[in-house]
Amino acid sequence: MIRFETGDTDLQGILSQYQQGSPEREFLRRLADSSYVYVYSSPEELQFETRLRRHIINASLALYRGRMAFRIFQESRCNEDYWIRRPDGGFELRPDARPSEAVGDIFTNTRLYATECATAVMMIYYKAILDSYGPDLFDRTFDRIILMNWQDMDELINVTTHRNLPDYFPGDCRYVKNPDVDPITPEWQGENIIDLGDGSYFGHGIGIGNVDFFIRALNRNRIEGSDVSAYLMDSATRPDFRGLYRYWKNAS
Amino acid sequence: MTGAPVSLLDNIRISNGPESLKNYFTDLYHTERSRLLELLNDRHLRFYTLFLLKAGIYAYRLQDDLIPMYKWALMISDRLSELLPGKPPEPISDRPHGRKKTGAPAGRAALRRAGIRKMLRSDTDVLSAALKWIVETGWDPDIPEGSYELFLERCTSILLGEFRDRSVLPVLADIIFDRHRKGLLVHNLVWAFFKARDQDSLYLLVQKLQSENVMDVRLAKKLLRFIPGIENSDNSSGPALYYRAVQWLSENMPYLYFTDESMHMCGCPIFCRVSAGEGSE
Repeated sequence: MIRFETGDTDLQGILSQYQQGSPEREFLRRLADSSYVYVYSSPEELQFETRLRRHIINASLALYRGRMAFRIFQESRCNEDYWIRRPDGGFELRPDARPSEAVGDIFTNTRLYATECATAVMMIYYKAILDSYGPDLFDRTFDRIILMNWQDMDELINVTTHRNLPDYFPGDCRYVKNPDVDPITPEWQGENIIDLGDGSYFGHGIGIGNVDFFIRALNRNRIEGSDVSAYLMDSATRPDFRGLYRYWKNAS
Repeated sequence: MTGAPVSLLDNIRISNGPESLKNYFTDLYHTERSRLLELLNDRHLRFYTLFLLKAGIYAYRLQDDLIPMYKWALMISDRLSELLPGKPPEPISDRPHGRKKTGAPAGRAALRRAGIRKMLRSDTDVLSAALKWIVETGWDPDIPEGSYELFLERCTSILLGEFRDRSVLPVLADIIFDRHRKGLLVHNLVWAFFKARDQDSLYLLVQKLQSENVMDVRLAKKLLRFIPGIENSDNSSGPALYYRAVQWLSENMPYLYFTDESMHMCGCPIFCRVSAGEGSE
């Protein structure tokens, strides 16, 4: 269930803003139906998180439609007008590039970019925050961006992996683990997938489908003779929605 | 590189670079072929040097004159290279979801993988010795990033995953920390290290808590964050941290299990946990 520190109780008013079947509505329904109490400082904070989760889903779909190629770190690539490719395969924002344009470029010139699944999730997060903050605030906030797996991320985004959660929501990043991956192809050791809110997920390099779709893809790359299946881990990785909201509210 | 003996060919590569090595190889082939074979079969030769000379060895058909381990090492590099990047990518339209985790399309990649698997079953003693030699001597400070680096990662993964050879873990730990100091990619090597599920190898990481290099200590703290109080122990000295970690490990080892988490999965993976209801703080 949802509780506001302001004492507000009008959840229907918030729900009515979103269409039936939309990811926003699904998020709010799962929150409201949960036996766990989710506390928000205000309806505005809840709406901010709802909007940001929607932007995460939109950015995932944009990356999918843009057909960004999957490449392991050793052969990642980027548009060097905006990004510097580092020796470890990550991308660093050029000092003279405008952050909002650089992040936007990933989603407009998508074919100039190629990376693995965790870095793709970081790209999705930055795009979602750009869409939530707007370019001016985004540029003021993120003057140094590194896209490299989960490492070196901005402290404000503060991406955290939560384990054994009571509920999972649209916009969550989940992980499908392949414990018996074939050592010949270790890149199939697992897949980060974004919950799209309708029972389907986006995993960069594999596509869009339900959890079984990803499990089947990983199972095809197990060590010979293994009967240990890939599985969805009981964890979710999320940006710090509350911290991002507070920063946005103070800056607005 | 340690204080181990250095072969003449390695010495030329390290002192004068790969091009000088290749020129020396060609000159010697034409002037003193038997001496060249002697140098190629030097038991102190490092794999990276042999790898750099591979094209010349094949061009002059010298591979059959190599000792079995070196011959197999080249064969492994040939077969694994078929799965590595550098092959022409298939057209995007043939990949509805854009997947290209290897250099070959799914069907051909599966066939190549089957071929590699067949090779892995063929002469396992020499093969595992060759893989171990590749892993132990293939990582050099001046290796190029890209497909060679990826090839070494796969050899490491196969040696640990397929042949269960834990004896390479101390070398692997040193490679991980050395590369981390240089800001190079370590995610896949860290994954392979923990995938070995070797509890004793955790002490190799604990030793790095005493390192004088701040980067080593930082990485060791990250990898050992499952030990309570290690990651946020800014004020503790190296020896104090080390002894705390050793004590915790010795008390909790019987209850410790590996979680399958990795640096691909999240920024703060917890690689090990203590079974519920067991262990100490």
